[in-house]
Amino acid sequence: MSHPDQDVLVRLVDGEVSALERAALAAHLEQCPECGRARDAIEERSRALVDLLTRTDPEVRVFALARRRRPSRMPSRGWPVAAAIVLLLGAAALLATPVRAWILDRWAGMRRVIGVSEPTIRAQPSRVSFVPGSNVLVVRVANRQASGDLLLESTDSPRVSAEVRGAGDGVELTVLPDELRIANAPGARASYRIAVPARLERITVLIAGEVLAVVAPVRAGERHTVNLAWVP
Amino acid sequence: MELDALFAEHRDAMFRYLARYTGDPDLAEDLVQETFLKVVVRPPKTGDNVKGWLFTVATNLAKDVRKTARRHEELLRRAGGIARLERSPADPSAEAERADAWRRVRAGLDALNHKERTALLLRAEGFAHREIATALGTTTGSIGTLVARALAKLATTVAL
Repeated sequence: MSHPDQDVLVRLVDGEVSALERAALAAHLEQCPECGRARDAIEERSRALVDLLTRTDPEVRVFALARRRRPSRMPSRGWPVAAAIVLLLGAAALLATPVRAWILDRWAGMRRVIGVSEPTIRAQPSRVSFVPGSNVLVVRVANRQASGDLLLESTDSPRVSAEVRGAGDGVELTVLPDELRIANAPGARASYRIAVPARLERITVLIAGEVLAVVAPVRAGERHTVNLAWVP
Repeated sequence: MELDALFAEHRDAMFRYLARYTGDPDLAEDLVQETFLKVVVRPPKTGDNVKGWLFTVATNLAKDVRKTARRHEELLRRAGGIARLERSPADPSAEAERADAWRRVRAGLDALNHKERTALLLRAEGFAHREIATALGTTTGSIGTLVARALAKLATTVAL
């Protein structure tokens, strides 16, 4: 028998050979120290890999199966039409001033009851400050610019503070519960300083819909700069 | 088999496999959920080898996610962006040793292509060559070659 290839030795080690093939290989390995060493190396490397993987595995997590509504295999054609009609009627009702005033009044009352101090959406031209609604924050920049940076600075404060620096004409900052939006023009040259609470678990920076950076702050005082200029 | 029983039986092994494949435990947890969502939406046609079917689905999801992640990493690199920061360890010396081993194994696995990495990791989970071949859409006879090549590559990068 000629010297077996490495793949044959792998199959031998993994018990993936027939009885006949096993017998022939055993006879060869008994007389060929070189092939014996090759088989031993495959066994040893396989063991070492499993050992290394096991030592570096993350802790097993106890998590439950997330229940999501099972989509119907045969969706009714009537539902989308009905939903569209309801949405149209709702939109038409919102256009009526008395309805809008009634909703805003009820919402203000509800905010007082549940203790929400921040409006859900807020926009100011050049400076905003708010407490994020969870331990993650998304910073969404509309466009890359001609020049400019986005500076993220972690602080002990529970508030996110953002300000536009430099040529910030036309730039608008908008606050959502877990998101800061920077509406900028492609030709803008402004920079932005965003102070973020160090307690946040994760800050994701998106530019033009692409995830550009993910930061997990560890302590206050960390600074990270993201270049907003177009890359060649 | 009931979905809950199936989840309980395979959850831990699938999480371990996906965490090894992606190097990201959070992502691995999401992918386990996605895999079982597929069981609900489009269950396997037969009850034979459900475990193999589940790991095939998980492998395909992990492959797709990895492609996207690599694109984001490339964008980050080109933009001179910022890197993910690690949290401070509870036991610095033990954690440093483990972190070093983790970096070695990640560097080694990242240097492998999808087929080589999948073959090695499914083999480490005890799958037969036939099952690995099904997950990779290749022939059973080619798995020995893939494993041999992957082990040889790892031996140089990870010093197995």
